[in-house]
Amino acid sequence: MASVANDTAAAPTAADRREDRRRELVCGVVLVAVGAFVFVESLHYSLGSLRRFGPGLFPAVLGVLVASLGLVVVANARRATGAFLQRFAPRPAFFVLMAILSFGLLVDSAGLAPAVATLVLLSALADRGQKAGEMVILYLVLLGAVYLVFAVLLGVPFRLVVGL
Amino acid sequence: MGELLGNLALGFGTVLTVQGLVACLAGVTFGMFIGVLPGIGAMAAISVVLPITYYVQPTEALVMLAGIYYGAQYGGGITSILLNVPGTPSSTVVCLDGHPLARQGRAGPAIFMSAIASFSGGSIAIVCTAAFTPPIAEFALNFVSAEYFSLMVLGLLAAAALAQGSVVKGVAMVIVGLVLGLVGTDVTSGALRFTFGVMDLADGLNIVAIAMGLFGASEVISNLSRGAERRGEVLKVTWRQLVPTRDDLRRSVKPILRGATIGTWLGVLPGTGATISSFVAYAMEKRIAKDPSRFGRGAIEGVSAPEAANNAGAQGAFIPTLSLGIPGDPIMALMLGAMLIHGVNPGPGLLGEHPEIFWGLVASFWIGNLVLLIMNIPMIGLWVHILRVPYRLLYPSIILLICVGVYTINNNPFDIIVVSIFGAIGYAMGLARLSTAPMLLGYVLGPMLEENFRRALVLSRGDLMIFLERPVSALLLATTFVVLVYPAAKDLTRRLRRPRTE
Repeated sequence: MASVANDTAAAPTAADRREDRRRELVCGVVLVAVGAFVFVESLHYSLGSLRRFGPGLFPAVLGVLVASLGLVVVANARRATGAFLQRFAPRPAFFVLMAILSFGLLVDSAGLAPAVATLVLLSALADRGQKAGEMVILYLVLLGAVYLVFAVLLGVPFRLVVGL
Repeated sequence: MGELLGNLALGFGTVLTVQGLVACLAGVTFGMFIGVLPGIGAMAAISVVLPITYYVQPTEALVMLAGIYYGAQYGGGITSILLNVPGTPSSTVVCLDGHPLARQGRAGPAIFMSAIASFSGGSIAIVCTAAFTPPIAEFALNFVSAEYFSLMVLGLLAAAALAQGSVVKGVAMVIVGLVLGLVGTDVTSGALRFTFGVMDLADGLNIVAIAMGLFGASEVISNLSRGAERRGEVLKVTWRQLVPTRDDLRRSVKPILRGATIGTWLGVLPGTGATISSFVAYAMEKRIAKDPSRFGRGAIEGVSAPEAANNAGAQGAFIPTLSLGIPGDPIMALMLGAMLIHGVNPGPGLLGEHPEIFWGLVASFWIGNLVLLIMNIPMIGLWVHILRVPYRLLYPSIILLICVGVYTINNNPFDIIVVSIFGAIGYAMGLARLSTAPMLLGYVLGPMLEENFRRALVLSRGDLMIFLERPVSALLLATTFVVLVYPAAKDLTRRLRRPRTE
């Protein structure tokens, strides 16, 4: 929805086309794998009959559908044009996701203060040229605001530092 | 007529209370703020606010969440005009003529017209919502499970087909979404499905966590990876020339009406929301203009038509959601999720069971739009200030807000881990050009689709023909077939006409 802007709006190069074909192929194969996995997993639940069907029937049908659509994507992969290809940006992707994951892992076990600190640190690493001083101030402001609004006003059971 | 007045009176009576007005005001103000800020959309804002609305009544919660949605449409245009960067995706096209106008020192009139167009577009769509939702819901009250099943199939597949990108991939994503919706305890048999022994999954995946991963986290990543374009200079607004000329107004009347019509229709259709409406409205104005070369250099129609369309689209999207319980876009899916959380059953029965919610929402739309119109101009200095907040400080705050918002739903850190997993999935999907919106729609409708499928087959004693024997159901499935086959056929003829070039 959001990514209206793209990185290769102009004429795609041969490398773009190759990359696009590779991605389409991977995408199709992943869809086939997901479909097959859903189908096999559904067989563990009772299928029942059309008249009185069990919890496995509906997902089994969906699994078959996903896998077949995946095959269509694989078949179409060679026609990929390379236009409107989004560049892979490992640095922001890795650090943004790690920032979220670390907050999830730390917020209950270590407390809000360390969790926000790790989140701000990892987020800052996602972009080039962040200044340490600025991030320290941002950390203090965000921690204070979140604690005040969510813990004090809304009564969310956040603990600043666990074990203190 | 008298009935309508009575209903409106009920609606205004519901909203014109202290709590109602506060909810409406808070919603539209926050929505406008979010709309002005580039890099955070209505989706993220609604997800963050959703847990907070647990503390208020369902009507007020929905009024507030809806206010964020259409408030963001107002705010987005200001950023497009002043910064040449869309504040929300649906105001992207406003940049084309809005920013040239600002460069000519006419930012004031552009923002003024954008507010008037948004208000007019919104108002027209509200009238349509009030007029068409009740009869559609009444008609749908006669539906049994077979019709429901076919209607959902139509809604889901149309959303996949009309959204941008490949139809095959769109449909695949709808189905993956349906599977995600099944994760957790099966209501009929009590069996645990796709939980793999993780007890946190027994209640299913949380909709806000999925939405925040797919839309919030991956949006931050995309913004960061684009880098260069994110900072432009904020143009000054000259107060002296704030009021549009008579010529601006005259030129805008018809584009506003056309934009509102396009927006309302496309808002009702699944898969086409505010964003696509604004693009279509702009393209239409350019096509029928006497002098198309004016577009892109500061034509006022290029601001008023898409602004009317995206607001009308945002309001029109409520028609299928409130009459049938079938959301057309991810934000409506989230609204539907909010209703379920508050124990309100969406569907044709909503109007009969909770008339105060429906008419309260309609009344709040009027009030909210009026507040936004009034708020837009005098507070322009504030909006300009907000635009000066650099993205390097903004995005860590957005990430934290996402995490805290998701945590507060169940006070369960597991939901935050789900966000990071779906963030990775959403980003990978973007690289593979798989659209995330159909997946979320599938997720919301998955359990309902299965339930209606099951019920229909129980009634027909296992005979699949029931879906074709009932006329309304057959008609819906036939429409689905046409919707799906049409783009495929078009693609095929194009390919046959122009052989593959290597």
